[in-house]
This record gives sequence, structure tokens and C-alpha cells, in this order.
Amino acid sequence: MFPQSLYFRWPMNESRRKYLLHAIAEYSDQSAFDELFTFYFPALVPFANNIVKDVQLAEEVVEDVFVKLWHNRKTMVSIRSFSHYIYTATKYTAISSLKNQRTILYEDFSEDLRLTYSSPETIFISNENIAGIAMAINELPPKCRLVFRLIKEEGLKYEEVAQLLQISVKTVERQMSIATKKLITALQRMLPELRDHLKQKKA
Amino acid sequence: MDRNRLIELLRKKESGVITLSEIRELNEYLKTNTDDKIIADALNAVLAGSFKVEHDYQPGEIQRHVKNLHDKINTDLNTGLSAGKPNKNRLIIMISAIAASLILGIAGYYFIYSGSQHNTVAKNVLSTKKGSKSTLELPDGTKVWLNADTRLTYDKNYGEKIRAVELTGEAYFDVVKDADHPFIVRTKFMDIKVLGTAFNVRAYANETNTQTSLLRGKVEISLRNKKAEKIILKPNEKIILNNADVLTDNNNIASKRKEMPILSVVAIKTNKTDSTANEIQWTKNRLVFDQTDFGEIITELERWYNVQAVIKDSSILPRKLSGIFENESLPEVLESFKLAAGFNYRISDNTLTIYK
Repeated sequence: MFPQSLYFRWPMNESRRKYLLHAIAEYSDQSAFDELFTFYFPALVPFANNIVKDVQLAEEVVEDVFVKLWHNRKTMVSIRSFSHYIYTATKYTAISSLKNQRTILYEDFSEDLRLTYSSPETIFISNENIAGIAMAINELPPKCRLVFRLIKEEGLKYEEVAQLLQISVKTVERQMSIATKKLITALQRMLPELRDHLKQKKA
Repeated sequence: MDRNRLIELLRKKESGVITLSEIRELNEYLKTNTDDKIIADALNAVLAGSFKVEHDYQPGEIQRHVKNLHDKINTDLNTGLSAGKPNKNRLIIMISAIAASLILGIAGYYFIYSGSQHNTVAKNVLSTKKGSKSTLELPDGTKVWLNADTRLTYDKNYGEKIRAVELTGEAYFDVVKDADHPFIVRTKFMDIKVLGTAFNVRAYANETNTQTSLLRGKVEISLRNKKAEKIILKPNEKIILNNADVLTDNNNIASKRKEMPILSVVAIKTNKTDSTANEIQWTKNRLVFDQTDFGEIITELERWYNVQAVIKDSSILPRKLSGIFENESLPEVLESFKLAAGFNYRISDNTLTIYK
């Protein structure tokens, strides 16, 4: 169902990210830095592109953000939330790379990325239904998907998303409610299967 | 329960901001509604899974951008961007990055032009904001650590005859040996000439003295107002020059501050545990005070954490305090001094208020 040329982002959990940041700050570890860049690049470019509307410029913006990061690697340990930091830096770098600087509105932000879903072992649902969960998320309106991804995949807090997208926390809550509703609807369709599984487990 | 209320409670639970009474409400409801209980459990499990981003960058393509990134970093370090044409966009990007740094300051790399119409010399300016530090390599391979709120500039012709840099703030230099091209640090009141060595220069505009600490090798100091007099520093020595006296160039003022000679050479104190001189602990992200006036400590904290201090009671300023801090937050530093120095504090926005 997906085009052949598609690539997935290598997963990065919180401890891996922490390890990389430490290696970069403490030992100027170039390969850790490359890994960090490789992880963030595919997601940051579309994000910057929302603002600059030019993929090549967006790529340059993201490279420049990481050049700055390298120069300041020694102080990186003081960054509390790296994802929030890097998205914010990308936003402002993108804004100021525009010849005619303008105010960025929430309307400018969109989500071009699709998500895939892989389930943990604790949930037993068919492959078909796993695809159904991914579809539920990918069918969400772009802004809602962006909010969902920033929170679920990048690990941002509601307040951080609000600050980044210049919206109220209330709006973030609303978008997450829409996403939750959509997931619940998808799960409701799977109810017979889930019920069966529960019965088997009890038996 | 209303469907929307259920969704709202499940969302709140997922985000971890649900209140105790809401949890009770949710649990009570789910006890009697088995289907929704199954859904709620499944949702919990689904959200524990991973949602990954799909993109169409091939690995080779990202690799190309990694290489771009390396090229940009190396260009910045080796030529301070002077190799290419100055790029207005880049300038703006650099400055904006500073604005973007909510938590840490970012060093701005940009061009300024100086000189007359006949002779335009491009200057490389490397600077750090309050609250941030940076390291860089000069074109000859000399390594420089920049402390917070510091500005280092050098001409495009750096290294042609001499290797000259101008400094305001604090920097530690590990200079590549090259006897044919002496390395000179110019500060407002003091010039330091070296042939290949490691030393720290502290020349903040808002401090009462200029200091040079020598770790290895040999440096020759000349004062801006007495060029003829040369002072040679030996390893593990530090020279302290009182800025105020140089400013007025009036020895009468010096006599008023008898406790502080115009010029003094003292031994560098070394930290017992890691044998690093106190003067360069900042390059290791450590904040070290050794019987330092609280007033000086406050100045340092302002720079280190990018805050503005307001002192309500100046009687505490002369108190002397010691301490070593590594990666500690401002409240942590203040907490540990609070008792010993007998003060209280408030931090709001970027203002630190000290009161008794």
C-alpha cells in the first residue's frame, strides 16, 4: 500500500538521544552528531518547508541549525528538551532565512509526513488492524497530525507544542482529543477481535 | 457517561495531566462498561507503540546532507566564512539562531567590514552570548575556548605576518607553535604575545581588572599605555592588571586602593582533584570560586546564566565564598551559597533579586 521508495526513520528512544547528546557535548563525538542529524533531518525539513516553501532552502536551514548546534555542543547538556529546542531553532532559522520576514501563523504549519505504526507486544491485533491504526492517524487533518506527531513521536509536552506552533494549550488539547477520538473509533471496529483475544487470555 | 467526556478523560490520562477525581470518575465508569474498558486498555497499548515518520529521503541522500553539514562546519572553523562571499541570508540566519536559543545562547558568526575606502579588510567576528560558551579553531589550528559574553575578532589576513586576534571577554588559547608568525592577543589594556603555548585571557569590559594566566610555554605581556615595558610570564603564573588605573593613567588613584596594586603577578591555583588550573575550569563547564567576593560571583553568575542581578542590600557583597559547580542550575548554585552568605533570592524571568 506504500510506494516502494519509502524510507522509515530509524527509531530513537529517550536513552539513545541522551547518550548521543552526552557523547557530542562531552567528547565532540562526530559520529553521534551525524546520527542525531540523520534522525532529525527527514522530519525537520518538511517542518521548515512549511515556512520557507522551498525544499532546498529548508534543507539548508536544517543544516545551518546543526552547524550552530555543533559550535555550541559544549553547552548542549543544559538543554532540557532537545526535540523542543531543535524544532524551535529550526522555526526561527527558517523565518529569518526569508527575504521578507513575516510573522508565522498557525495556518502556515501543516504536516506532509505520514506515520507508520508498529504495535508493542502487549496488544494482539491483526496486521490489517495495525494498518487501520496508522490509517486513522494519517487520515487526521494535517495540523492535527502534526500536533499528534510532535507529542507522540518527538516527545514534546503540550506547552512546548503550543509555544512552537504559537497556539494555546487549549488548542493542543483539542487537537489531541480529535486524534484520540479517531483512534477510539478505529479500535471500536476492532472490538470483536479484541474481545476474542481477551476471552482466550482468560481461558 | 457522555462519549466526549470519555474521550476527554482518556486523552487526559494519556497525557498524564488527569486529576485524581477524574481518574476516579473514569475508573468507576469503566468498571460497569466492559466494552469501553477493552477500548481504553487497547488505546493505552496502542499509544505505547511507536508511530514512525515515513519519508522519501534515500540513505545516500541524507549522507550527502551530512557531508554538506561537515563542509559548513569546517568552513566556519577554518576561515570564519571568509572564503566565500558574505551571504546576507546567512547573516540573518546566524542572528536569528541567537533568538532561537531559548535555553542556551548561540555564538553568532558574521561579517563586519572595517577599514577605509581604499582598503577594505573583512573581519571575522566570533561571539558568544551570555549564558553560552563555544570552542573554535583558528585558521592555523590554534584552539580557542570562548567563555560567555565574549567577542573575538581577527582580520582576513590572519597568519600572513602575525596571528593577531582582538578579545573582549574571556578565552583560553591553545596556540599552535609557529615562531615565524607570532600569536598576539589584543585586549583593551593588555597585549599578549606568544610563540606557542596555552594560556587564558580574561578581559571583560565590566570588570575591574584584566588577567592573563599561563599554563604552558612563555608569553610576553605589554601594556597598552606602556608599550616599552615588557613582562614575561612563566608557566603557572597569572598577571592581574587593574583596569581602572590604566583608564585614568593616574597613580594617585592607585594609592587610594592600596589593597590592589596596579599590576601583580601571582601563582595559579590548581584544583587538587583533577589538577586543572582554576582559571580554565570554565572550559570544562565548571564554575569555580575560591574565596571570591560575592559581588564578583554575582557578575559571573549574570554572565554564566544570562540573568540580570538586582542587589537589595549591598552589605553582603564583600563576603568571600568558595565553591565548585558543574552543570548546576542557577537556583542550585544560589541555594548552596544562601546559608553561608546569609541572603535570600528571587528569580523571575531573567532577573535575579538578592536580598537579606
